[in-house]
Amino acid sequence: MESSLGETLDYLRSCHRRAPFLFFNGNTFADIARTFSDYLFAELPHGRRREATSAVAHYVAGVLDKESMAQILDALCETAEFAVGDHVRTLRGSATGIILRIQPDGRVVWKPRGSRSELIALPESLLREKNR
Amino acid sequence: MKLRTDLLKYATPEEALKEALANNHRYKPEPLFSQTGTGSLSSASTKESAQEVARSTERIQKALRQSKKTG
Repeated sequence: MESSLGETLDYLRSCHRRAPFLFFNGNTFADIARTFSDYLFAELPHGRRREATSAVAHYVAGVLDKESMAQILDALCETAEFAVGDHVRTLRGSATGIILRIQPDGRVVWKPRGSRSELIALPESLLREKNR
Repeated sequence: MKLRTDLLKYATPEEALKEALANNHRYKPEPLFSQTGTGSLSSASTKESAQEVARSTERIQKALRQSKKTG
């Protein structure tokens, strides 16, 4: 039997919602999703893969809605290629800013909004900010 | 990016059990989701996140090695 990632996650979420066990339903189903999505997203860098599996687990656990999870997964699966002037945010969206320079080793220098400091980051640890 | 559906055959119940036990304390032992429509999953600490990354890396590397062996 074949089913899409979305259908599988919906199924696990519905199992969690039915609460078949008296205690600890979440870890049973959310961590099944966390484990298999880890394999599915094996090509993502560590940081992005962790965020992807976390989003999937939060969806199955009933903490995140489907649209938000899909948006997070879409953003994490985008290539991490930036140009000077691109607007970016951290993986969890705790800071936003702008790319100032690209270093020869591929790392990027960016400036968080509202700050004078310049930060150096791996491109895969930043996401392009949409609607900018 | 390609979804590695070929690696899914290496996802075992034992791996899921290991992950579930490691994250056990982050869930509430109450059927919150079924009663309220909103579940609960507390944040992982920095140490737990690092341990999660280590488990994930080990799992993926093992699967990739096995995948190469079987061609």
